[in-house]
Amino acid sequence: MDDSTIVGLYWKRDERAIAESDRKYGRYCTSIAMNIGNDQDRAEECVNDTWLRTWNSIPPVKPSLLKIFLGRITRNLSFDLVRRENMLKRGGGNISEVLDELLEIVSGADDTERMIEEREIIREIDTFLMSLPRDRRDMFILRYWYCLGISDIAARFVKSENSISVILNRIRRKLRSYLYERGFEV
Amino acid sequence: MKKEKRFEILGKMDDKSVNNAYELKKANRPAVMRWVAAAACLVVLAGAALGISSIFKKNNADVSDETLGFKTFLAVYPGRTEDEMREGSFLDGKGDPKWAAGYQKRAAKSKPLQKELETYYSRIMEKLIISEEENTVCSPINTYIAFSMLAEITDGNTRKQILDVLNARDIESLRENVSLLWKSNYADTESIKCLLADSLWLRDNLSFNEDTLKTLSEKYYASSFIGKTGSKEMDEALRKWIDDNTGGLLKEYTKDIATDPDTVVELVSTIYLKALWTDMFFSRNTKEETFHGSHGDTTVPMMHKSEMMGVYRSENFTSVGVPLWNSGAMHFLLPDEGVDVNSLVTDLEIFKALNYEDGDEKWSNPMVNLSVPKFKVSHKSDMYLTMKELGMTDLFNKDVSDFTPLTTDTDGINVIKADHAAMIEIDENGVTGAAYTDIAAADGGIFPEEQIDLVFDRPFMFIVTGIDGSVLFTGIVRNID
Repeated sequence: MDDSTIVGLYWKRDERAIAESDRKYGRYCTSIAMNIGNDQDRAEECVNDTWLRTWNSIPPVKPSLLKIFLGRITRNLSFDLVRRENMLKRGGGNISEVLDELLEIVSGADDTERMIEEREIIREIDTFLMSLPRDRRDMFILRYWYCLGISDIAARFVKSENSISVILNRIRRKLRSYLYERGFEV
Repeated sequence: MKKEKRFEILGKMDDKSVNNAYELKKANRPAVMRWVAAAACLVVLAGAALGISSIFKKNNADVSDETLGFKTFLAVYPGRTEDEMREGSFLDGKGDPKWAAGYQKRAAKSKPLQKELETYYSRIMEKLIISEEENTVCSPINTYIAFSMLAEITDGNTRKQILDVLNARDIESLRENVSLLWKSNYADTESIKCLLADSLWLRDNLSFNEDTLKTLSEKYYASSFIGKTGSKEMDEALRKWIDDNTGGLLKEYTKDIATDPDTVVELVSTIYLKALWTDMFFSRNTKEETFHGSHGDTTVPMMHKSEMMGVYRSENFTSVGVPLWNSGAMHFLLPDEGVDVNSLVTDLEIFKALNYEDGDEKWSNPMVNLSVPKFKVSHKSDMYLTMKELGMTDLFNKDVSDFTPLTTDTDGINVIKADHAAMIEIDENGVTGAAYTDIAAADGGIFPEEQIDLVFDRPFMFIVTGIDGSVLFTGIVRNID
């Protein structure tokens, strides 16, 4: 079933929307949850919650890319769960490493203004990433959006783990100075 | 910034980039990757209902603020509700899901009212945003609240004329309507600010009916300020109050506001909106492009995004609603070739374009490549004639007007000023809007018989709705400098 039909089912409050989402994107969402939490039960919980959140969001939201919309919800739910269970220190999945690497990038103020500043940061990060060669951009996203392990990324790009670590390290440093030059506290 | 925050920020990266990275990954999926098959999911759809307790903060009632130098009765303002405090960012899958359920339940309170208000919306929009040349903008909900307050301080036929315009059976039902509109729309959270405020500025040598002031305080959240009308101090305080409650966005109009020594009461209502798009526009997609205005072509920053959107196609116009985070939406209405944009204003079908209806063939759900110019529009309307044309005539005639619920100390009170000013600005982040309605009534004043013609046509019309469907702002953009 194509995405617009699935979104149409949500819009019509037809519960088949959930079964179809699960059939088409269940594996995708579960993999994201596993990358972050590395726990099968928790991953299933997060994916189930993803359908509930989606059911409550559409309408009024109309996602442009349903897959990423669902993936983002799973990513956030998994992260919240890991955080709630205070697993960050214990390092479930790749999350604690990913978070430590992110210490090198971006800082940010409160309220609507803070959210706007956040969005400006996102836009700058987006512009920065678009300036990178495609493979570098994909490595960054696989690591920091999908929380994929270094070894998995290395296998994907047929490179050593060390070289992926070095590349990611360089991207983070470049991004840090890119944001600093644009007035963001880093 | 904590590292967790950084992780969340990176989660908001552009959908297409995230998708591209994944597609590439999938195409060359290595054996070492840890993909786990999804187990069968048991999905329980539970309505996460949250009881609404104490919508309003119990605080600062009847507080006298010495710093203003006036005797004041400050209204008890809506505070943040417990569910608002747990807001988080529901749509992002973070935060407490109960928050959205509670918020939507609260917002739903005035949804049924919207159908009743359509006639009023349409009539006030016809008076305030139809014009030949100017860009125009007004806040229908703001004028509705201001006129409702006016109904509270009047009686007899004067009040009846106002109730008729507002399509209200009696003052009690009007009061209930305003209360619902406040509860649904007032929001002061991280992701949405929709701040409403009301006030009364009263002459100090008269005595006023405290029951009326109390009702205005409790039901309309109106603060009362008593001082010397026409004095520099009162004028400054009044301007400051409006500026404070409109984010200083209407200073070009408020700088000229002054009370008259004969003023008995000056009634002011304001609205300030700061709402973010649910899905923002990316600035790298904003391009300098041509806008074909009524005064000729100009080059403007045009924002672009592609999304599946609910599109409404009528015989005369096409409309899309761009959702606002934890709020309503901004609807853009494009008249078909050859159709005067002014004609949309009086077309009641525009209200159908604000609410999706299942089974209505005019609705579709395609992928829309949306191009919308960044713009800022501000406009001030003199509502003297508007109010008269709508049918509120007694207010302007001191021989028949009835302001007894406010004061019996003086008679011969009539409205001498009725202004409405509004602005709206949109950019890649979202929508910022502000408006005020300022109505003054005096004993002995004579309103100049000034006539303002408001007639126009332009490329598109916009309507900003609140979470309950209230029309917060509407206007027409014809030219962009």
